[in-house]
Amino acid sequence: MSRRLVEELVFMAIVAVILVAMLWAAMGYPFTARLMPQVVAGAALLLLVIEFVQTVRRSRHKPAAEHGEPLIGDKLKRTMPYLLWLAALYVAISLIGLVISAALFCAAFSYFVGKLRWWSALLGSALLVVFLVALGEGFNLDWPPGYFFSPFH
Amino acid sequence: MFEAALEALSIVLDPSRLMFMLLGVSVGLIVGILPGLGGVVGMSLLLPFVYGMDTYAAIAMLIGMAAVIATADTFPSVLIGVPGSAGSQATVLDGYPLAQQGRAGLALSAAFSASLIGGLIGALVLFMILPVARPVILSFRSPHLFMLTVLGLCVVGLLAGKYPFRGILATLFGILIAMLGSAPASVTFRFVGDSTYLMDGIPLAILAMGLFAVPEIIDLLAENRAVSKVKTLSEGWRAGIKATFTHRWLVLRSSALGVAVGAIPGLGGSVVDWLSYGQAMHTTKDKSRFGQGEIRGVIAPESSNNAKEGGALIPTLLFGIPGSGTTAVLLGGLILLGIQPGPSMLTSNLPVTLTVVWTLALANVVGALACFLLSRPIARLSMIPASKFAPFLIIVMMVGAYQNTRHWGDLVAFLVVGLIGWLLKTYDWPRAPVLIGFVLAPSIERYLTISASRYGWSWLADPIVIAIGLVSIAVVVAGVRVKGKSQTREAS
Repeated sequence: MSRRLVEELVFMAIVAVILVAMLWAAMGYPFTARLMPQVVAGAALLLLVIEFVQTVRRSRHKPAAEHGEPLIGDKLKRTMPYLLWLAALYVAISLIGLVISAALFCAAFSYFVGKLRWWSALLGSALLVVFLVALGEGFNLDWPPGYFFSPFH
Repeated sequence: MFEAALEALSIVLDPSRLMFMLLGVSVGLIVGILPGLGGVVGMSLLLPFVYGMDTYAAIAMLIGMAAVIATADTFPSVLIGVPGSAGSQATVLDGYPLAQQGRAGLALSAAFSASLIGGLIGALVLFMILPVARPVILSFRSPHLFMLTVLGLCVVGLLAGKYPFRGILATLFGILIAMLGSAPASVTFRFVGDSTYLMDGIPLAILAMGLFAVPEIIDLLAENRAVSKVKTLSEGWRAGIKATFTHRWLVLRSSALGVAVGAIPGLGGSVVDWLSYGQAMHTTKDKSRFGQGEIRGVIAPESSNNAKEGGALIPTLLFGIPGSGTTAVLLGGLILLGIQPGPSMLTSNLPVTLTVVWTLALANVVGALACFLLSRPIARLSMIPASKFAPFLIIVMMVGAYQNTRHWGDLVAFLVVGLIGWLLKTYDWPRAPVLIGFVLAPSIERYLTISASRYGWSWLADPIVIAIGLVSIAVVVAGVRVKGKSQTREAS
């Protein structure tokens, strides 16, 4: 079995576990609340078993090289830096609020990843702050507050 | 009808609503130009801002955005060779070679003029079909609407993506996601545990942005895409418009095909351009130039992908069955505005329906003109690598996500749904049916509850219900067999 096939089967198995958990949880609801989730989750579970078998059968007709790129490996390596940038943004928002985090994130990302000149990166993030503040004032919007610092909340 | 149409025109031409339509058109142009982002992303960006807006202004903004994406997505297809959205894949085949030959101006102007005509034909057909559809639609009752929704979901599930069961499963996942939160017919919170955030369910805009925009941006960054080889647009603008009028019958045929295919739920977006490209090739004697820079290969898909928007609005507005991810989010937007798509769109909400028709026509004209006038700066915009625009787009999306309930849960849900969407994309699971199932879940549950409480189980013996049920089964069986055969052919 190719790595991609194993990953796909594991993905389907996780989905199946979630569906079984939903079916289990729905048993405790009144009839009107459980009818739809039980019918839909039951049908989904049945179709998932069929799709599981179909996926294995399809893979037998194809050489392993044509199964597609596995997620764990090069694809994850290529993607991981950007996921880490996103994680850093979330941590920053939770600490210092959205507006300042957005400005820092855009400036840093544009400079280090986008390879913009430092003044372009700063100008872009300054314009973003102006846009966010104007949007907040114009539409009476609220921004996620930070734990330590939240100037525009 | 014509009086109502004139009244709707006066509503659309109100200056404040025109401004919102222009705002929608501007967002649609930008989203169309950026490769990989489509109508769902644009709709999701605008959706959080429609809360509390004037109904007609909000509709003008949403329809204005949706109408022009198929026009603007020509830029990346022709200049970069990367489809701007799913509906412009076939344009790449001849548009990109034309650009490489230094004839980008010819390709773009032919595409814009064909898009304009196609879009207007789509709006016209939508208008013409209203009086015909009115008596038919109004004769449907809750059991019939329930069965039609089931049929729509089966069709969407089967036609979306490569594998039929994955499409249907994705639809069911969407319905299950919609079940998070309070149950409509009893005081029960389903599948929420102790989370107060999930009690109101996951907002549509977060699901749409998470499923579609986040995976595209992650992949665009990882692949470091969007580097155009074409630095100038060259001349040939008049020749492009002339070519569209020379091939007027091709434009008409492709537009008609676009409307028809767009009206079939689930079929529109990603296949309409290929079908019309195929018929253009089929009706041309010298097929050897297709793929080498044949202008007919640009005109046909571009006229059909704009015309399909009018077709896609027929089941969305009249039956409440969205045919694509974009119309699913539009449907959610209409519900947010207090409009329930379905038979009422031809009675109490007729002005809204006619406003949609006028906005569609007007936005197509404005969008095409904007593309002509702004082609040079827009062309430069399409050459921006993803790493330069991605951080700003991520922030705008997070801002949009947070406005749904103004709770930290919005940001967490956005990230979690985004990662799920990325996994679905990576493993070849279609994402549009998830969104369509999510949007249709309340209707299905409501139609089922009304049918059961009003008719008991006797509605199952209704001849129309049986007929639609048989059609649904036949569709599933035929769809699975056809896809199975095509996969076997591919494998061999």
